[in-house]
Amino acid sequence: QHAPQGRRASIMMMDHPRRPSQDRKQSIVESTAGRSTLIVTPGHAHRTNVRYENTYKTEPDVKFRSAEVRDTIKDIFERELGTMKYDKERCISLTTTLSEKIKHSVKILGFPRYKIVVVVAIGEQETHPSIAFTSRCIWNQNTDNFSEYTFKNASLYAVGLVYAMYMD
Amino acid sequence: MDEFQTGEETAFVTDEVTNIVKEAIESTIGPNAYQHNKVNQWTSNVVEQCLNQLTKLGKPFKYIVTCVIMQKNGAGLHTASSCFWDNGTDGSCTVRWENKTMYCIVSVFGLAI
Repeated sequence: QHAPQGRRASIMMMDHPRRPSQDRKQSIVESTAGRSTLIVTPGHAHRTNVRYENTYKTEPDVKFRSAEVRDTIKDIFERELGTMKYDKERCISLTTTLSEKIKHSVKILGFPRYKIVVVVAIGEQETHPSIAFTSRCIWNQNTDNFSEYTFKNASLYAVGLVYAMYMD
Repeated sequence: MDEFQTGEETAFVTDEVTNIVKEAIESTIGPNAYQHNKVNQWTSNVVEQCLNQLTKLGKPFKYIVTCVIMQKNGAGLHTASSCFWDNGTDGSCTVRWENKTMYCIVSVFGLAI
């Protein structure tokens, strides 16, 4: 009988009588459907970090929407920080939890094939501003974007940045 | 088929990038004292120089470089970052630098394409 329709990737053990020589290790073969199958010859240890070739898709289905992400950052900051006073001990853990939360919300919004980088900075509010924050990127202008929001209250300020890079 | 390359040449090399960043900072603001009107230009220069050197490496990466320059007068600052990427190929590095009057923190994120 023929193989069933819609064959998926599988690891096949090759028990070939003409066993390949010592130097042949794993090989990755492109099947006709465009998927990769991993063929492992017996008697050789698995190589743990195998790098699969890319399936290229130059244009994203869904482009990164920076306005929506900006509102998300704003909501999270207002909810978590509100009228909080700057406290050194607390802010250390707060920055990490905030960046995790923002990353999680951006993932939920759903931008497939995008890599996300979230940066959060919290500082004490001063009477004379004495800080400058700059960033610059090398990216693909058509597909990549970023979003930024600054939150201020009486005693602290918080800057949230989200960069989204399309993986083509 | 031949042995499959693990792609080590195209992984993010932290040491190399750290050196580039340190050089960029030292050449831009190394000997200077904090001046409020020059700070914007300094941050731009540091970032520009970092990016120029990074592109010269010729690796297939997209880069994000952020730079914070802060005056030393007692205020506190905390930064954190969280990234959704491919752990095998992507990486980041942060360089903290200071002189008598200011702190400079530069972060570089490299995402493989």
